[in-house]
Amino acid sequence: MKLMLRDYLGSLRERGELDAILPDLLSERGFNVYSRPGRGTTQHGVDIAAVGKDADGEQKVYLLSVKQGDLTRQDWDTASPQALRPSLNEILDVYIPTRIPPKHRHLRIVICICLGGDVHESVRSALSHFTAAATTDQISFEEWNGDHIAEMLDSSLLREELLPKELRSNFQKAVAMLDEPSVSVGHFDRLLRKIVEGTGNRLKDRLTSLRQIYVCVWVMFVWARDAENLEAAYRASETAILASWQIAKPNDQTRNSTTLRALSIFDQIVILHSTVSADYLNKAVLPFSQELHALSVSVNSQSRVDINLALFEILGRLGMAGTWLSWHARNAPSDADRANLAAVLVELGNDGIRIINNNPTLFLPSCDTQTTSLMIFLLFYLTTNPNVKEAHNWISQMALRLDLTLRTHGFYPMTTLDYRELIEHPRERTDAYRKEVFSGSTLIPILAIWLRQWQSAQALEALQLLVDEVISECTLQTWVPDADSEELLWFSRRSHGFAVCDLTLKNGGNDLVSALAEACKSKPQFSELSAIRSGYWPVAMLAFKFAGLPVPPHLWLPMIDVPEPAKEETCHGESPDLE
Amino acid sequence: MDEESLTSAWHAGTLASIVFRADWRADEEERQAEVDLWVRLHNDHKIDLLSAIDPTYLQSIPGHQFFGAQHLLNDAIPRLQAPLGDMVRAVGALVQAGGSDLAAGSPNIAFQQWCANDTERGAGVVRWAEALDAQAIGVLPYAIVGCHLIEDAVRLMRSIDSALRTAAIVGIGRVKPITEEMAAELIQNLYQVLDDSNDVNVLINSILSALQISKEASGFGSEIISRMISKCAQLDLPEYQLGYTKILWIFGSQLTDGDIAILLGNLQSISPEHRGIVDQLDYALADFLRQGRTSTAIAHLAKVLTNNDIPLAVFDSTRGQLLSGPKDTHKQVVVSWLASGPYQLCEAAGSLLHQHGDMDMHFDVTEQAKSLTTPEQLYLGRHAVGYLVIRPIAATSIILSVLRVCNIDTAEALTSLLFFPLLVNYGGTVDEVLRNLPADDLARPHAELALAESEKYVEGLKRTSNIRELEPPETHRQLENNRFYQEMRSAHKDAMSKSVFFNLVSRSIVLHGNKTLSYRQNEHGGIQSFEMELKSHATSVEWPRLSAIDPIGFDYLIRVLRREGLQE
Repeated sequence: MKLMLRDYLGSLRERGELDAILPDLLSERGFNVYSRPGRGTTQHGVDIAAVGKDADGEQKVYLLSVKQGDLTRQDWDTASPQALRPSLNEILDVYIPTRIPPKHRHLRIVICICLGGDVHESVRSALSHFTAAATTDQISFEEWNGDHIAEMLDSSLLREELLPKELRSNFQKAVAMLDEPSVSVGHFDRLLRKIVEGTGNRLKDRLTSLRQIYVCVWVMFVWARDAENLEAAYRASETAILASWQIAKPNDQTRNSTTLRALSIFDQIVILHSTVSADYLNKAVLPFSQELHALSVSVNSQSRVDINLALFEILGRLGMAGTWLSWHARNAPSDADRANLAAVLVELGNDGIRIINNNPTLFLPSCDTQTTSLMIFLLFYLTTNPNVKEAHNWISQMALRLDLTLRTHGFYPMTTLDYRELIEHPRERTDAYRKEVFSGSTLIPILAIWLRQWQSAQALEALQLLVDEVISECTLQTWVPDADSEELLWFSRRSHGFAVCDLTLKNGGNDLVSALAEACKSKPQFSELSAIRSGYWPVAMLAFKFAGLPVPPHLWLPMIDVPEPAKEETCHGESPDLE
Repeated sequence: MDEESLTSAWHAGTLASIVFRADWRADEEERQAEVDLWVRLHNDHKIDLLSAIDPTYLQSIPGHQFFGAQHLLNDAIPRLQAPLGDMVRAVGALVQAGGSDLAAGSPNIAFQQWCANDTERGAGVVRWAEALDAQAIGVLPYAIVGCHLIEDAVRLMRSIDSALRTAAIVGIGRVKPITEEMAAELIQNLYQVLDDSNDVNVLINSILSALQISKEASGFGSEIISRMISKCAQLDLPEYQLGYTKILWIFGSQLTDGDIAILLGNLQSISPEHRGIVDQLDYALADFLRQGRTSTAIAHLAKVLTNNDIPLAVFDSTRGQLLSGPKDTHKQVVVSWLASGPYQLCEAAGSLLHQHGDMDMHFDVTEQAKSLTTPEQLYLGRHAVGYLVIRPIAATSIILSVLRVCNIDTAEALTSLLFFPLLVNYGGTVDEVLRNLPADDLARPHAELALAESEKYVEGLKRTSNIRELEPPETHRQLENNRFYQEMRSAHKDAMSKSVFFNLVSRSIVLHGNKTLSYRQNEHGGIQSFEMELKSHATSVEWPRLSAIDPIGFDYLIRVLRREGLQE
């Protein structure tokens, strides 16, 4: 275990990685961290400052200067802002005399040189001379190399009583199986479930569980990055958000200090997920968005189902990345930052459209559950991009292909998620088989809603004709949360919520919209979901995607023109403003 | 089998089991000797060979066992002394037991010979048939032929009983030799039959017999026959198609163009379920192609395929003749059907582009494409892609043929088809065809444009290589591999069960080694060794890339390409 952690620390190569986990590590060891790392602010050589007891029980101020990887001659004393010696000088010359809070000035000071790796021999003597010369009664130096930090991690966060043996086993297997993401994520999922189930109500327990999740995701990410396969890390970070939300979610609308401390770690997990997501998209997806069929071919499978599943997953992830980014953009500190992020969002949406146009498998899902990914991307795109034409074209093409495949007994979407069924589809080209495997659809109401919204009367009429002539016994439906959803949505496998059934496309789609508006009104539990109530609506989106549940109409109906009688009754005010 | 065994068996009532036994020796002389013994013992009244031909017993033995003895009995029958009734009953039983096999009627020929050996036998059949006995009517044509009973036949032709008339007409048609004088009289008699009958069998057989007589008389009477055909066509007979196709099939070469036009005019709507009609028409059309009546055959084939939604595979003789006949005809048919034909003809053209196990082949139709209009050239190219989607080499070579002779706009449209969907789908085979074009080929510049586009496309794909994050889980791969394996195994088993080859040979499964060594007993009682070196045999096919990347879009494109066409 220690070796795994040691390697993990050595692999933390980016700024913001090693110094991101150290504050939590110190907190977990009982330190009071009073200064956290921040980019762009003057730190005078100190990345993290904390107060805590040393091995002899004496209270001291710990000033951490963090360097990624090994310390080499190039990192010791150069003009680089990351060089160690200038940082140490700054601590001695500026930070200690001027920046230590008055209440801690009477304490002795330990300057910790934190390294993910080791000190190279070539710089060892220079470092020793420096620390010897600068050591006084008041000021001492400690070297926290990768081994030392790994030991701290192993003996505190992950020590036996906090991460029991069976959890360590799941974690180790998750890391070991990174190259087979499904297996790895299976172990990681079991780890998270055990953590969630073992978390007590006390704040300390909750914080510990959140930190455990955070560090475990970090380890997964770093190892996955080294293995050049981020899939398991991505999925682990998604699951981690939902597991963490189950622990960190506020029980009511008040934001007390307990809630804020838990949310603060949850925010770190979200940031970590965003980092993994960005790495994933930048490595595996976005560079190839402009090439015809490139992503489809990269799935490296002869099965149309594999390609379709992989591409819709990409689209869902792109949609989620955009959703998180939109959410972050709202909290951006300045108008300029918001404008920059808006431009990034537009480009990300355009990337998604390019991926769709260059990978035509995205013009129709293989199974109905993929409608969630479709909607997540569509909602992100429509709320950030003014060019509706592309989305309109996509949805129109989808309706056309659905019509063709259903009428010709081709590769129409199935209700099942079973891979075996999917690859053998269509086992029969008969009406009876079609009736069996296309017994329900959340896709058709979605297509109808948008075709109506974009005034594609002809396409909508064709869709209705298809329903009437070919699949009249298919149950058109969507889903809305119920009272149990708050408990079960985030990290449970049990069913919950209402299937809003027997939707109809008649009357130019107006009846459909009216029915959905009525459902939103009569089932307001959506707005009572903790993630919606507390403004963390992307968590809800992620939960829908994760569970394969349709995105409830509460989230998108405000974007739809509602017929007059129903309009008055719609619950606009209760849904988050996506735009 | 010796005399004692045969007589004992006859007395024991088991003679049938000896005559229709399964283990007949291969030696012809031995078999002939036994047949001679049958005849001698029968004629000496030591056995009754005809009693062995028991309809109930014949139903209980397998086909090959029956036919093994049937042809020996055919040899014995003409030499037997037997009452007419016994002989007619025995021959009838043999014919009936033969079912629909082509050799089923051969005992009738033996009976014909039996009658020829004693003219009184023929007269007996006539008398008996005049009493409207069904069995006698069944053998009447053979009695007429065997005993040359022309006068009796002419008289019976005027009977009021249709079956008797038909039998007499059939018999007349088979009588040989025929002089021109006789032919004139008989054809005239047959012509008169058309005046007083509406029975389709009577009328069709009149024409068939007239044609047969005419053939024997070196074409004499063809004018009257044409009048007979014309008259027959005006009667609007029910169930006439089988007779018409039989006339076309058997006597097609004797018919005038006018006769053929009349008969084919009545054969434009046929049902594929009526195999007899379809098969006879197929043989007739194949004969027309061999005789040089190409345009007649092709035009009618096109009408039949289009009007009745019948696949060309049903007309396998005609298809085979088109494939093995003159290349120009083959090409012209494919080009004209693909360029302007409705979908039935385009599909038929597709099935004219593979033979002898070669699913795909080069097909240069540059000369044929020259005579097409601009829209036809465009549709030839587009239909080639639509209908030859799993034969990329043929589709590519047809497009290249058009590119050599078409205008700039058509060339631009067809060049884009070379890239998408052909090169995108078949980066191996199509790429090879295009790269191997000679430098001075008129289609080369267009091919280079498509290849450049393809290279750009492939470069884009290469930039990604395999993205590990996107790869399916190992469990999915195993399931898909298993599904594919089961599908291929099922196809393999299906192909083996339909293989003519595997029904003819016995199989040995070799587990080790690359040569076989086996030993068999030779004719001298010694052991002889047989060595055989084993060779590997494999076949490969390039799977269209879009079948995985975009199967629905590909399907849609193919449907569009297939359905579009020239307006009437």
